[in-house]
Amino acid sequence: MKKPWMIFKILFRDNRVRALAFWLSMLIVPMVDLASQITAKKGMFPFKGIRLFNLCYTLGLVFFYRHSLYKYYRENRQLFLAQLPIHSVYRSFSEIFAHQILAIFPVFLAIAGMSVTALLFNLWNFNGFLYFAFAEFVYVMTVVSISLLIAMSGRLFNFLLMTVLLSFIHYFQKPASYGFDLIHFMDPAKFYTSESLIAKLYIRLAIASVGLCLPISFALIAYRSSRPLTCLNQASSKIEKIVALILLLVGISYFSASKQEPELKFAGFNRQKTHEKSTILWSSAIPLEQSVVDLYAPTVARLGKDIEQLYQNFDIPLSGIHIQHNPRTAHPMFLGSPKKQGGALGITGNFDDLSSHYPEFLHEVFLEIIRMESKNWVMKESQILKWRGLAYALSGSRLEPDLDFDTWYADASFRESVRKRNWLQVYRELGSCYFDRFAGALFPSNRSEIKGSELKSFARSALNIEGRSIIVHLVRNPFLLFDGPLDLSIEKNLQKILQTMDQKSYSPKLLRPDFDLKLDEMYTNIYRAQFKLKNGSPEYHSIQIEIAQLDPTGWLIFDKMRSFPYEGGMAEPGFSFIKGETYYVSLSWMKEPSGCRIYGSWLEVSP
Amino acid sequence: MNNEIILQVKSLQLLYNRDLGLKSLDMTIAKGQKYGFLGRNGAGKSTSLQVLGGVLRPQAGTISFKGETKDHITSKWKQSLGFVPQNPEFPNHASAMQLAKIISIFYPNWCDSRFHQGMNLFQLSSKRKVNEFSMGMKLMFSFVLAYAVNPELYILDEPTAGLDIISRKILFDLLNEESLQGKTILLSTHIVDDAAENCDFLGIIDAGRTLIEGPIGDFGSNARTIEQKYLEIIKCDAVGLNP
Repeated sequence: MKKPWMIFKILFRDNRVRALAFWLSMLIVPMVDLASQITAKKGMFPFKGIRLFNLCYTLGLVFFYRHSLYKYYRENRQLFLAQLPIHSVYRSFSEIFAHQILAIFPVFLAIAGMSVTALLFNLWNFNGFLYFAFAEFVYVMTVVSISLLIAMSGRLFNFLLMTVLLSFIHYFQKPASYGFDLIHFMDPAKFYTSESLIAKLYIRLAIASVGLCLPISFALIAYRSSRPLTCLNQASSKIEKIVALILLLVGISYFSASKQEPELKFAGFNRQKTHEKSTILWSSAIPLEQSVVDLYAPTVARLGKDIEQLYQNFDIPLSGIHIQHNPRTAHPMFLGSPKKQGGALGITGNFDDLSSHYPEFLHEVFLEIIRMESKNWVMKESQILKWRGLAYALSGSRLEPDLDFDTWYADASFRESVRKRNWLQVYRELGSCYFDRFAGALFPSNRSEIKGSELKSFARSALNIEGRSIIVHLVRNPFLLFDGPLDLSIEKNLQKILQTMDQKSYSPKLLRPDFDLKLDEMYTNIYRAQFKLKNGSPEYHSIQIEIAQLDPTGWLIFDKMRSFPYEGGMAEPGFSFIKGETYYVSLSWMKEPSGCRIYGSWLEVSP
Repeated sequence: MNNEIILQVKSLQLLYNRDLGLKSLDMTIAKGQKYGFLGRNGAGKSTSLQVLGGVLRPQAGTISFKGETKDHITSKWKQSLGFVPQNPEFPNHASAMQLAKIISIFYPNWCDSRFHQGMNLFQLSSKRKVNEFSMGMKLMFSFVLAYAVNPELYILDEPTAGLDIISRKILFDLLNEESLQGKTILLSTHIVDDAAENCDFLGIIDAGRTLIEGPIGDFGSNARTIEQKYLEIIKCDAVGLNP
């Protein structure tokens, strides 16, 4: 083992400047991109970083091999090693292997860097990381084999041609047909998200195997030859021509696909189409058979009606909805902002789920939006009661458990907050489900306070999804329910509730759970948070920590939520705080016997 | 000097093209011998020595080293060889000492004191990077490395080309000392004076074939007569006569 290490050491010394430049350039570009993603506060898009790294790596590796491996043979630089008493096959193999290690080294750094980043920002779980690391390694071996081939051929024209083609493929990654799945193994965004993932992994593995065999065959050729470069040229040029031909065909296909894109790409549906009674309301990046499309057609049609009503009742400026079927998506998620899609709402989700749970799905839609809105602590206090009451009324009380109101009626601070109409305080003190019931009690009989125009405004605001990362729902039922002005007489119902409260006897107040926060600097300007629970009680369980950030528009973006058992009393949510950012941290817990989740107040944290 | 054969080469062939390269090399070197390998530019001297140094692998023929016969120089044999190529190549960004440390791992007979002795004699700095050395200094350094290996057989490919008079003298003095210690020396040169003064056996190569080999006394009594004989042999070969 000492001798191959020495060979590596010699070759590293020989290529030190080249190797360092290659490594740095491989890492700097993706890191700059990563930093810009972090500072932009729009959430990270890991695939973008991986894609950028892969592109840099592919191009950089071809250049690196061209300038190290090819010159190594052309300038007879192997003479030094050839003199040493090492078996020539062993030596040739070690030389090639050492060059490969030099080439792969930045990948190890990148995988390590990306993993740390991913773990810090909790982008992947551990299994996700392992899968990513494996797939990336296989990808790298693929690129190494192609780059090795290009470099060893030694012909500048071929070298440039291959470089251009590789760049071409990286940049023109357009989902067009099944044919392109073959090449999607090079694009992380496609590789990790489309259906034929396993097939692509096999393709990568196959090419990576070739990548491993090539150095061995080159080593054997060099061993038998008095003029290694000539022999390697001859050996590689034939293979290279085949690879170049394949890449050229793929490149042409991509180019033609990008030209035909307007015809191939189905842009969901838009308002004009719905007026024309179009039944095709959605698209899929994964081509589906007609029978499958027919199966989804009723669901899609219903969604179309929702969108239509959304437009007619509330003037919500959505030109359409782009729905992408993705079986790997557990919940419907925003696919993109309306601005980027010409004003249309982009949603990705599993249509299988949507088909089977459509009524429930719809029923929860507006509630979800309202809840997310009212959880936003920057909302005006008077609005919280209104919207939570509306949500409670719409839910038909079925979403919350039966609650023991005596507990909160008996709470002196609660009574005081109600009298002062300090609704936010009530919300914080009681927890969402008590509060919701309370709000709901004020709502149903007389709904004069919420006007249609206000609801419209609220719905528009709630659907103004730019930059948010909440689960999205679309709704039809609320629009059907509230076709006229909405009323809510807080005054009348509040008096009733206050009278009821006055008749109840008081009981000692149980101390609410709280936490101490400790920040340790793990790396420069990056802090690890540790929460120590105070005032715990067996009555409290499923304690959760929520960490949120304010986006520039004033929305709270909920980044992390961690649950930990009371017995532990400590929690490290695996979320890192970056210096200069402002975070909001809150504790919530379930309280027995009601099963109601209670939210603590928000704590502002600025490391 | 005894008659024990340390290296014997028979019909060695290594062709780059159909008619270019080593066609038939025959050579017999006894232990302790100072073998002068003469030939014109392009005669095949360097290729021959690269084959014997284990850098290139021959296409045909046999090589015997210390009684063992193979079709190429093995890595085990290389441990007993001190090869100094005509244009030594060294990795960039490595000092003389760093390279010596790396190389010492590969040679069981490596001797640090011999390395330092050689470096001092040629006044080479161990701390200096080798790629900053001049061509002559690289040659000297290459020889120092071969010397430190403490080899049984030196294979020197025109070691004096580019050396100043003093360095030449140091080199030949060291070689003579080594010869007295029983070491064998194979010295390639196209300068007849070097061969006449420092060798006791001569082999002449032309157009990739061994023309003749024998004790230096068979070629003449001094440098001038040896040179005349050498020229005759080359001329005869050129017109197709047996020398």
